[in-house]
Amino acid sequence: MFRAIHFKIGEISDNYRQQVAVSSKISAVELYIADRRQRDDNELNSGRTFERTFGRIFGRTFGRILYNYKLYFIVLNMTIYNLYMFDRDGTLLYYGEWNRHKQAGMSRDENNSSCRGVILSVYMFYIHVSPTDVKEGFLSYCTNKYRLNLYESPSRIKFILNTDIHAQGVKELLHQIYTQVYVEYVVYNPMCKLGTPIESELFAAKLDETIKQSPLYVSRSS
Amino acid sequence: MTIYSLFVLSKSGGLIYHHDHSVPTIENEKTFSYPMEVKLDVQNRNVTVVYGQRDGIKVGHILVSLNGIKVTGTQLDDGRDAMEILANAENYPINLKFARARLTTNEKIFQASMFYPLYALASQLSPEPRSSGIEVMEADNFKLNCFQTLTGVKFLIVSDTRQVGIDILLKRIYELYADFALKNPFYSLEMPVRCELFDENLKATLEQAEKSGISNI
Repeated sequence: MFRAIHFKIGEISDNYRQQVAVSSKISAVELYIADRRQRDDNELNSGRTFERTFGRIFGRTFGRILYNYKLYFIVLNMTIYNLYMFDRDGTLLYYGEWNRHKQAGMSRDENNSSCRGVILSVYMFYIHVSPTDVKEGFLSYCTNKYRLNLYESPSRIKFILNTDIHAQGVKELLHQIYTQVYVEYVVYNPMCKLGTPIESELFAAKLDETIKQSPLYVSRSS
Repeated sequence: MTIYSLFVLSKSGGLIYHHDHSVPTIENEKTFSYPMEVKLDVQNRNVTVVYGQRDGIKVGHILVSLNGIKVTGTQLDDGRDAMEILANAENYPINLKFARARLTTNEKIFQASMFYPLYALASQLSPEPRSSGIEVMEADNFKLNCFQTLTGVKFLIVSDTRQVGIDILLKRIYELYADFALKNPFYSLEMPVRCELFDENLKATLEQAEKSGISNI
């Protein structure tokens, strides 16, 4: 899922160019600057992380990095696995999958009902356990292999997106899917009946395009 | 950067220990005149706000005090019924204090048992093979971390969203559980943990974690 490349100061600019040429699938780069005196070189939690700064850091800042520090480039491939859309009554409106590697042990219908059940239960659990008042609601949960993100529109349409654990900015992506894809191609479509599963191919195509164009999506076949 | 509470679930899913470290108390006091803009109703044996959210008093808050007299459930401390007093126009203007309902022990047991199947379902729904259950659950006002041990015991911590290093803290609490609860000869497995040493050391660890940061424990 990610590779750590260790560079010495001075070799960085050449190696970086090589790295970019080799891998065209970089979607996010986290830059870790670790103390050279740390015993375990592969420890990633050095406490200082810079996201997407290789654009800024490349060039000027390298000269300013102190001699005592090593530079790690960690290249993360972020992926999107699948998307469920449920409406306010719990009907499944759409299910799309991009990179699903494990088929659930149950049938597709049971899988959808489980997902709906989990979301409802998690939401109720969240409301009870929350120590302060509920403002925006439950956002996401994370296991060791995937992260489930939930976005609920003001009309209680739920978008559930399974991504990998390092995904960021998913809320904006889901909001974009809601406003630019769902509202445009389903709500405004006179042929699409709201509250029933979406059969519009235009919607499916546009959704596919939006997902594939987002920085969160990288094909797993690489 | 606070830790709100800790729950420990046994292998079979029952709550065996819970500890509220620092639960924020949200209370709002307001004087009302007849007729009230806030609609109250009895829900769950408590006088609850159902409509008319204003001034910090939100839907779901319960009445805790009326004119300075503490209210438990629907009854005041002096025996009178709160709903009757509120229905009578002569008692106005009236001073009411509302607070967010705290979880009772029964409700905690209920919610913890709710978490156990959610954990299992999360691993079933996974698009990737061999996924664990829910490890971190995030919302905008709190974060829940869960650590499952090899024996199936789950430790849950509800904390602030910006708190870091909770997984280290969870492992440390697991060590305390192994030292002071499991090694206690009077403690039987799957039963509620009632070991003084566990309580004391847990409180000390949590306080130290809050004061000097988790990397120091």
